[in-house]
Amino acid sequence: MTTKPKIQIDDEVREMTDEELADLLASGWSPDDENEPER
Amino acid sequence: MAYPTFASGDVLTASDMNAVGLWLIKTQTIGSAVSTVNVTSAFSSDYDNYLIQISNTVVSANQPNLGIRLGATATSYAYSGLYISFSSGTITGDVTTTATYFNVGACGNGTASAGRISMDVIVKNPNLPVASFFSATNGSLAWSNMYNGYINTSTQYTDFTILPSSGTLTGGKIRVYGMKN
Repeated sequence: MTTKPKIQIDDEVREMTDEELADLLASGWSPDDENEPER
Repeated sequence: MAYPTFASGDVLTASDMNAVGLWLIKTQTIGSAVSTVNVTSAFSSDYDNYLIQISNTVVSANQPNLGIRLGATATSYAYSGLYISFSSGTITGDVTTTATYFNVGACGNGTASAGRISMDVIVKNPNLPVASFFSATNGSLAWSNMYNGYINTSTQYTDFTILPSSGTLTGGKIRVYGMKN
């Protein structure tokens, strides 16, 4: 089972909902990529 | 009273306290491996302009950008700025009017040492029904960043969100200060 990214709202930390994750991905966010090129 | 130099036992009068230029509104500790951090009740009618400081948070990804959003607005952020590499000295310009967040700049390389960043963002008008403006500086061990921008909406915001363009944030503090009107 894949773990969703975590969202923090003030002191509350939880996994994102599907809708929150979709919004994040739509904004261009990506998971860690160790092969991301140097600037 | 000869503020800002106070002596032990001095009485703090209203005029002295009302002259305080920055007021700490909120301190938020960043959790472990969070992809976004939403800070609520940050902006209000008490202040027009704010200083947001983020210190000692560590990015997990390799040199992501760090962004800030007001409320739920995730379109039409405009920014222009530049980032400078400490290793090569290369200066790169960066401009857009269609971003999904205001870009504070590039972070380090995703390690506990070099991934550590320190940033200041001044946000003007976020709780007023006019365009909001941003001015930001962001330093890491890899990059120096300077950005200005705006979001041209009449929405009166009370919260903001910090997010890296990839990966997560761990640790550190977000401090929100109101600037005396």
